[in-house]
Amino acid sequence: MSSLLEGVKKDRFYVSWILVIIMFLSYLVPLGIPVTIRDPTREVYQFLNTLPADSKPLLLSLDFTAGGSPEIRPSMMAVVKHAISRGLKFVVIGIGTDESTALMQSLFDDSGVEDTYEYGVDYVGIGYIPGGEITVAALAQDFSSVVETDAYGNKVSDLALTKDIKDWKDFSAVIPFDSAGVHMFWVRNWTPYDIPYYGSFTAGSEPRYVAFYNSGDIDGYMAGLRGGAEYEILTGFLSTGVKSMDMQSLTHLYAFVVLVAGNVVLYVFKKEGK
Amino acid sequence: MLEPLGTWIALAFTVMILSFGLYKQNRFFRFAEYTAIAASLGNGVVVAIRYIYSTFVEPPMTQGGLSILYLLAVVFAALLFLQFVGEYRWASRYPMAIIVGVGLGVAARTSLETEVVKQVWAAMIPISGSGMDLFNALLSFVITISVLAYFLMTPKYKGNFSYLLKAAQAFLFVGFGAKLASAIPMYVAWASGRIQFILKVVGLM
Amino acid sequence: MSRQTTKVFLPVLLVAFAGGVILAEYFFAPQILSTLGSELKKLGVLIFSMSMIVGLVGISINSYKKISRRAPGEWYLHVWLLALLYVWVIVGLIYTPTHDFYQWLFANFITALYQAMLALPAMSLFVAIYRSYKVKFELNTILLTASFLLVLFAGAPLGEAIWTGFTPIRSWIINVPTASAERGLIITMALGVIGLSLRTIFGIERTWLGILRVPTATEEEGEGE
Repeated sequence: MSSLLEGVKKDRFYVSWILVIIMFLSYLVPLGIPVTIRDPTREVYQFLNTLPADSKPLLLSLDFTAGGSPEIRPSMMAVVKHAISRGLKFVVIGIGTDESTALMQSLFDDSGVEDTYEYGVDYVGIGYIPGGEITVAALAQDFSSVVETDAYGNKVSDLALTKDIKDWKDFSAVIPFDSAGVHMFWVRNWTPYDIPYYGSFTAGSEPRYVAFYNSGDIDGYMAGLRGGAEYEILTGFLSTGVKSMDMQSLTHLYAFVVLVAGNVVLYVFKKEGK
Repeated sequence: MLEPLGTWIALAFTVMILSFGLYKQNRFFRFAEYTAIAASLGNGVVVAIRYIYSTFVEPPMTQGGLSILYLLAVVFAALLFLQFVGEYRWASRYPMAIIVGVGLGVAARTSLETEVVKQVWAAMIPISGSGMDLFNALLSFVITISVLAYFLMTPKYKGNFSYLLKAAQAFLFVGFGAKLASAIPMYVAWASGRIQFILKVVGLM
Repeated sequence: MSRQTTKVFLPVLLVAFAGGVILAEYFFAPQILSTLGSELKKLGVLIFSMSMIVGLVGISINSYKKISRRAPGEWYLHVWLLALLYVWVIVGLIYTPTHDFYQWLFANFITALYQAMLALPAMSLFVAIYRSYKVKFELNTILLTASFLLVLFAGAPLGEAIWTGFTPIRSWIINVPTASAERGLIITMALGVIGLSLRTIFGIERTWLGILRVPTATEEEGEGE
């Protein structure tokens, strides 16, 4: 029993190492468990799938950090690829983190948008605009007051897609992809307007934003990596989201095992007076 | 040549950072930590300088003329740096006042509509129907009112009001359980990024 | 002009003006308010972006102090920090953030470092669940645990594959009790934000100035600031 007690003192390492090993194994030995699609994700898909190709551009906000990108990037990549496949125009902006510009370029490189679309006509990458909620509020009312150039130095007033954009009325929908915790800025400042609002945020934020979904402010959302995987399945652009679902299943199971093990150890040692 | 070098650098940093969680605090972790701070701040400064130049410096230079806004912006920006000069630190309150005033104004005006009015409206669902619909409507109403009362009215722990308090606590705990369960996929998703990277480097993915 | 006027009263007046215009712009129609509000927002964005450069200066001063007094165990780390920071800024100004070389730097430094950093809380969370989550037989803990386990199992495909009943239960927990409790929290926090905003705009709340109370004239004379 004393060796068990010694082991318990090193429990932090065992718990962490087992978690990492489980995550590695889940990618190496895929279980292929089917993923059910939830209604909020389906609503995003339905909207983009029925939006006419000659609609006003979509406003996509890249508000996730490099650290948070494994969770949110799959959903943004799937949405961008879906938009390209349907011929929908889009403008990519970032207000949550100064890493937006570099991450946006990486997204463009990996999505193949440059092979299909013409820059300035079909898509524009503005990149990071500082200012947080002030900028989000300004974008809705007077777009050009805070956006002078895009990420490549072109004036937005010279680009065919953005030269006539004045405010929220010039977009067909707004879709922020957030892991930096700025989604509330968009909800507060854009949902009062009559514009379709969809979002992608971390799984941990879902309980918070469900209240806005139920009140009709948010028309649909993709929550975390699961939301990204669901969107990948709906669109057929399978990627890291779907591949990570087995990892998520096994880590959830491990969380349950850890909870039970922790309580067993606690009550065993409590009983022995240690 | 850069690509393999970059992969090795990224792999080295990954191992250095993860060594903290899988082993213990060590010099390599601290080195990686300082590297992260420098790189992140460097990126932020680059982006900020480019934005300031393209939005506030280049237009007056190319289009000519100086607006009052431009002059005010230069003055306020200069005042920000006075926080490092002990005797004149108070001068940095002026640009801070703009940020605070504008930020709070923006937050307050839309909070009222989105977070108060619309949420109260959403809470006022008709308590009608049958079966689960009626139960859900009634439960939603009771939960919303009790949680509001818990935070706004601070009911007493004794007497009849204590039941309201205990009910609100119970409902909040249900929500906390859901939030904890929702946090787990978030954290493991963040961790999966480096796991996938390592597997790609060793050719297993 | 007295010290109190320049150091306290004028900044407070500026907050009242800026906040007042932004609030008025939202609720009233005159064009002048809209123009003024737009200009104030632009000014706010500029000052916000300047804060990054202020941060650069701040960290440079702090690191210089540590290097000059040879702070044991960390002065050399500060040398590395400053060197990398300034090299990065120079490289970033020469190559844009969308350039291939900058992308290479970003992917192999920032992405690698921060994704690894955000992997650490996952380990900590599981260790915390193992060590600290004590299941006691009281109502609140039972509700917490039941809600936690039901949402946990339904959150991943494995749980849904084991029993399809997890999905509607999770949906109910998220949409009814959690959303309703969250609604109460949202309304309460929003009222707090609005209250704090109005108090600050009207000059009642002055903690943002870095002082807890307004000093009197006689106290001010003795102060360095």
